[in-house]
Amino acid sequence: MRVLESTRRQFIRSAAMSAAASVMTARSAVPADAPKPPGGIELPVLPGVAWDKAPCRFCGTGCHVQVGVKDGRVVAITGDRQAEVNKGLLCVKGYHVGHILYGPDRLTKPMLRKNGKLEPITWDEAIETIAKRIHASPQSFAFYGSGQWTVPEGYAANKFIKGGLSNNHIDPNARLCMASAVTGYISTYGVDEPYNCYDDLDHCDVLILWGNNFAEMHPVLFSRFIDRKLKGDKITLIDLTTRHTRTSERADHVLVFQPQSDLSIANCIAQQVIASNAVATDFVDKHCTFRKPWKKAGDPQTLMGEPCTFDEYKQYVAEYTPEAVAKTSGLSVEQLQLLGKLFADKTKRISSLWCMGMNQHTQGTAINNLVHAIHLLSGHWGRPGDGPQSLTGQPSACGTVREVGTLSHSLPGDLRVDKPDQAAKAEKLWNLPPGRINPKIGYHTVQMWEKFCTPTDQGGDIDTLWVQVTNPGQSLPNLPKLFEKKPANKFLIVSDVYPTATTELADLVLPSAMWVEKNGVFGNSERRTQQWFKMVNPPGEARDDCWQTIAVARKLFDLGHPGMKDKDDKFLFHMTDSKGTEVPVWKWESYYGTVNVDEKLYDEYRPFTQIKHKDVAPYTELTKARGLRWPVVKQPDGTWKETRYRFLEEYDSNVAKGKGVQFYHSVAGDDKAFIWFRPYVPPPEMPDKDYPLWLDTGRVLEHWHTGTMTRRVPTLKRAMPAAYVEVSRDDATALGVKTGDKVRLETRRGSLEFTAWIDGRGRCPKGHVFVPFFDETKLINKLTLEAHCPFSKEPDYKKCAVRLVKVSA
Amino acid sequence: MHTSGWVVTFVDDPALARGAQLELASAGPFTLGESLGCRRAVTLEASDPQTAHDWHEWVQALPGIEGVEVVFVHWDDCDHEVAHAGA
Repeated sequence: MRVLESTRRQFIRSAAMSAAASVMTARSAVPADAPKPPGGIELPVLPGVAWDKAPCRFCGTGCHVQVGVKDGRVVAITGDRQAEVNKGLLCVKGYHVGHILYGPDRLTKPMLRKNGKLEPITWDEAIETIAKRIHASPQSFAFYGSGQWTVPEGYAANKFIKGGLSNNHIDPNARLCMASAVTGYISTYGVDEPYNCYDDLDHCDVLILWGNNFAEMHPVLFSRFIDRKLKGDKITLIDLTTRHTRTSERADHVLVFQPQSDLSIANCIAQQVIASNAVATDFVDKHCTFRKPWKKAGDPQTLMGEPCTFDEYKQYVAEYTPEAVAKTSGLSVEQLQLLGKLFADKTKRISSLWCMGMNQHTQGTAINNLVHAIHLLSGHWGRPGDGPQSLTGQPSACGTVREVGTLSHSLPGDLRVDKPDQAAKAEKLWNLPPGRINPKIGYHTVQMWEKFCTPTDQGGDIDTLWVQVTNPGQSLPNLPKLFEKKPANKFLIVSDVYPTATTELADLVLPSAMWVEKNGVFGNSERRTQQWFKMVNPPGEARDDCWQTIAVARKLFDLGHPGMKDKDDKFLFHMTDSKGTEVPVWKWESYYGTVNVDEKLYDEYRPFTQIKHKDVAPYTELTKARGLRWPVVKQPDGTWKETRYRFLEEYDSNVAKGKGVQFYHSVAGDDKAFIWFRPYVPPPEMPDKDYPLWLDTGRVLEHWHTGTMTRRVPTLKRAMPAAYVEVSRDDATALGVKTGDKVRLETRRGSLEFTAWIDGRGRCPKGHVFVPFFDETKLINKLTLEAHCPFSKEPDYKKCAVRLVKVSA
Repeated sequence: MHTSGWVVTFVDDPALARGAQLELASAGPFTLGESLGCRRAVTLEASDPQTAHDWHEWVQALPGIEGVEVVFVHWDDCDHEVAHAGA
């Protein structure tokens, strides 16, 4: 036996060594865009272990892992060396991803609250309870999902509510993390999502991070960039930030600015580009027009604004000189000039990246517009490594929210419910009678929860709310107002994998399958659609979220709800096998049977993506690839080609021959992008004598989102066990606070105690504190503000006024 | 047993890098594989995930180490540790 065990361990050690050696070789020698070796890359050979590919469950980077399964359990994880995104690398969360399935408190039975206590019920009872509530009042039902919904899950939920219930009260938690990027793209280029991709990291000379702690939030991409430095590339990292982070430690320039002054800094760059005659005149004349946010200064700003001339634009930005902006931004004149000179230098390739810092902002759309503007104005746009790109925090914020259109105003394929011609296209593809889609935009996230938490007789017209794959009881801002005030007679349904802050208030809890316990499709931050197959069974009675939606839809069909039928009286989710026989996929025993429900839904969804040239790849192609970046175009030889850069003739076959650059979905219909002016606007709440500090919230390397998965991984939990408040040394000295002291944070919304940490993981400047939001025992969102961007409706979690009181040493 | 495969990157300073390699070689649970430029393939065998994590932290903190990347993890025969999020 000992010999056998020894041989087995040698096998595993040798597999580990072989994986490490091959990643090392690939990273040391192979240029980033080199072709893949023929015949693929061999996987570690381990006795009894079967490997299959899947995207990582966590962030929006879209790393691929290989999952090792033995005897029905996940037993090994290795970075997928065939994946272009991560090239075999994983972050600390990624290589622990297999453990998230096996927390001891997985939800395994549906539970209904009776006399204040959750008690087990059957799935039939659960589905019937939901269907009867919706049937009684379809218009007071709302669906709240996330960028963790798979593409088919989000598509089914969207079709169910918009195409079935004629109700648009569906919104995802991605509203809270990247909605400002959406409005920024749409109001600049006329269509959502980045034109570029991660390849920019391999080609830029300068990387500017706009309020983005890249090292902790997207560590694999950060390594990809830093790796170039190790190889000797002369590249510059500029960290534009409101606090020192792990990213700052590797930066060449750390520019710490005052919250909200990013608007002035961007305008200051534009002012300097103009003042130094560095406008890319040829590019701008051919491909851009200028835009101001109002008819006349002082009017309310609008999303699409008004045309203006270059001279007007020049006049607007003229006041944002380095000297003027230095007075309010916290940056020196020299630091502002460093940025201005970089953008004026055509020889350098500049890549700008951002995530929550720019998006969770009461002027989120504006700052997105401005960063696009400085790149377009200066001509730092369109070459690999030379352009602006937003990142996402969830694995399918792009795929399921932006492409499938699970926001309250949208339909799949970037269509809108309030545009009759676009709604008609959706009705045609869904085979629905004309007029089925309600033209009234549904409630966005903050409105939805406000309406749910307001008594019905006071205008709270959402009575039943179904949450899937997210944890609003921890992630919504101003929790006392938007979550904790839920009236007793309103009904909260939560589908999840573990008990959470949200299930605490739920009336009905449904146990869900997660990650490789089900089939799935995600879409990452660089337009890459990724597919995986189910590898292990979920525990107990846990079932797919998508099945739950279809089962409720079928129950409503049986109850006679007319919206659950299409024009030909067929069920909304009618699916047939290869012989044309209907498969009752609403029955769990048939769900993983003769049809692949994911593939059926995806195939139905795919034509939507072709309407605005976002053609996602066929499902069968995705099964072979480590994701493909849309638009994916069929070649004359029958193969499918992804698109690295949109709007550029060299890469994008949708660009007319000879055009070079073509913004073919431009707002004005002239194939031109907008260069926006947006003024500095103060935040709604600023430090004052009562609440003298800025409160910033965010994430840490070890935990993902609200920590419901990563806090079940013992190693990650021990590495970062609890939330803390990061305090500057200056403020700590003034308040007599030391590391480890108990302090209380108080805002106008509430108060909460934390342990103080001075010069720990990050370093706040004077007047600024930071708290991570992963800890369900310390809900920092009890203190945050729900004020949001007027266009994207995304709240600002990065700035509100707070005071700190020492409690005990 | 918790087995992992790492790519360890050493700093540019040859003396510091050599010192770090010696430390790794003399520490019990590591097997050093081939090296290429400033990187070396390394495996770690630890009794459980927490011990592996502690070794990871130890290596990260060694003078002469630029970074450690874990690219492979196998854990089928170690007791699966569990945690409650709220505990």
